[in-house]
Amino acid sequence: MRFYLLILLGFLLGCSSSKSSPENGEEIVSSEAPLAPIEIKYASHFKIDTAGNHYLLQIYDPNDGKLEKEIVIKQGHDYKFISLSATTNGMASILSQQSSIVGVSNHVELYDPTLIELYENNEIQEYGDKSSYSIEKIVNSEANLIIDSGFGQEFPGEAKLKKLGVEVIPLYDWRETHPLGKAEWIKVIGIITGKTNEAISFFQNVEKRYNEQIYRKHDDQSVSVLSGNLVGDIWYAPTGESYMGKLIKDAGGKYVYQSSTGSGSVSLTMEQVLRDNKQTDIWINPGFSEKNKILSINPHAKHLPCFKQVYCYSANMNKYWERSAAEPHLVLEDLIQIFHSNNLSESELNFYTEVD
Amino acid sequence: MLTERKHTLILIILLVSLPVFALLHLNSGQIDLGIGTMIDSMFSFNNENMNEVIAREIRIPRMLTALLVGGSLSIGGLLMQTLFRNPLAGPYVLGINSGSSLFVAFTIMTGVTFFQSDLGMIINALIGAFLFGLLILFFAGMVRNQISLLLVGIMLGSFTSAFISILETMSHAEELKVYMLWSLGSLQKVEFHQLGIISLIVFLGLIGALLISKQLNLLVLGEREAKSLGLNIKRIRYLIIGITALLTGVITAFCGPIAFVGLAVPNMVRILFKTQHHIVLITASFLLGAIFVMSVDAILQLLESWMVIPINAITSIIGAPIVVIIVFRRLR
Repeated sequence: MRFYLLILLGFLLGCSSSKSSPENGEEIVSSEAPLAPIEIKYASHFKIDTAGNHYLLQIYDPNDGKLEKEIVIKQGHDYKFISLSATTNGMASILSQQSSIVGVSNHVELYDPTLIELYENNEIQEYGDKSSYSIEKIVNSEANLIIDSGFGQEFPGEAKLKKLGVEVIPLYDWRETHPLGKAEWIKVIGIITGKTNEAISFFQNVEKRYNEQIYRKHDDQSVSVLSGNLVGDIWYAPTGESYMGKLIKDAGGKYVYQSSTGSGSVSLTMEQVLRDNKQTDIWINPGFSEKNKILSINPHAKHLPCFKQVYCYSANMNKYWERSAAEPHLVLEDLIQIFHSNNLSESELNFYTEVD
Repeated sequence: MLTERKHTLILIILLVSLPVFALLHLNSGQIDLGIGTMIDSMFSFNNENMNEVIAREIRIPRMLTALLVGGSLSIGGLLMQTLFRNPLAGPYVLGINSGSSLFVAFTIMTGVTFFQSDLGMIINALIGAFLFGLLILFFAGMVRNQISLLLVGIMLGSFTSAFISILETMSHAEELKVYMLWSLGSLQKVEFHQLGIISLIVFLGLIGALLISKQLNLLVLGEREAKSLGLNIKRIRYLIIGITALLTGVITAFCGPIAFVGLAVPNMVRILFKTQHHIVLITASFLLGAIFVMSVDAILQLLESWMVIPINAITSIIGAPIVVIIVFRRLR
């Protein structure tokens, strides 16, 4: 009898120690209070609900707003993913979860030093873009997720991948029009990597810093701004309601095409751009970091008065694409400096450089 | 005699139409500049006046570029069609443009300053066009079927694309972007000061084509017949390739590849004139080609308030069905 009591005691002790063991993620979750849905304040294309002790990620199609996909994100599950979006790389790096990434599309696009090191140590592989990836290579990897910049179409071979245990999550951060909406996608990376609280807290800090800056500079709209450049014969300028339009406005710039509507861009001819920008002070985002390259694709650019003051983020494109989505307050900070600082020093800028 | 009169009459109509279409083109932009502004921009240019800047730097060069592009690509196409005795031949279809594209890609992506100057671009585009012209000539000697020669041209295009893809993987993102944007083709990037060199080269090509028009008339009879009439076949082939390379290369260097003009216009001219007399065909191809591209571009300008369409989309919409119609006629 004593023997059986000892066994029972041992069993009970064993159970209690496993519940409190920090090594066993799933058990920790089960001992905590049920999860609550995560509040989404700015982003329009995803929601995070709960399904028991797990999160339910709901992705909405940016074109029609309909629910596109629901994915259960199991808490305590060790997700390893192939990241085909620079934003994902940046957000995982901010949360110090680079080791969750087992694949990227192209190593030359990496910015984060840890990611580069992991690639050099063969812990991260290259998978190409979605049009050229190898299903066998993915299945042969540890990956159970692919995170991809969604373009509203099914990921090629998605059904096959699902059968083989690999889910695809489209990241529509680039379709968000509010800079903080873009940044809020870090919550998605947070729930996947098990760093939900860190992601929420990081976002709250970004939100606070972004909003503080807007209010400080909002009244001064004396600097007129042009954005974009020619692609072929068409000048694509972001609309006033777009991500960049909002950033320019929040930075106190008078954007030439501020009244244009929609979430994308307006198409203009070079003649229209010249006519509309006779007095414009500053040109941002020309797509090139050298004036001679701008002139090689758009020789008429030299007739724009704002050709004297051009700023771009393309001098360090990898940094911009990885970090700007999660840290819009730093982009805003740059634009405020560019628009309002009399003695601008490039060392003060986070992403932008002056085009020479 | 009657035919000659008819030819002269059509040529006069085309010649008179040319300035009419040029004026229509100049007035089809979204911004109302007025003829006075255009004249002022040419003779008393004030670079502080944005309307004059638009007229001098965009509107007028765009019209003259359309004229030169249409004229030179059409003559290039006509020469190719005569050389290969194939109505489906043209610099774009046979891969001559691909040769220029390959060398221009190399020019842009190497980052060497000389190559990126106007002269460097022209030289490279000309070399590319000439080498690919020789290559297609070599293959033409091996295949007898006209459709097979087109397949060789398409294969040359594929080969070029593959090679350019490899270049792209090795090039810097910004150089790659410059190349991608160049490859879209545009009439708007030519600047006023570049018109001189382009016009000179096109003029040389036009004169060259007119000078060999008699030999071209003999070539139409077939190589054996032409040889028996004293034509130096080898020499004329090289001359044709050289002139085509000159005409196509300079346009490709400055405007990127422009599709189907070289194929469609000479066929229209043949339908219109029903002759093998090359002095007529060359003159008419130049005039009709210029009118064709100016009209297409004027339509694009008129549509710009509604949508901005690349020139190649329209030339392909018109040119591709012409290829299909000719292929069906041949197969029947």
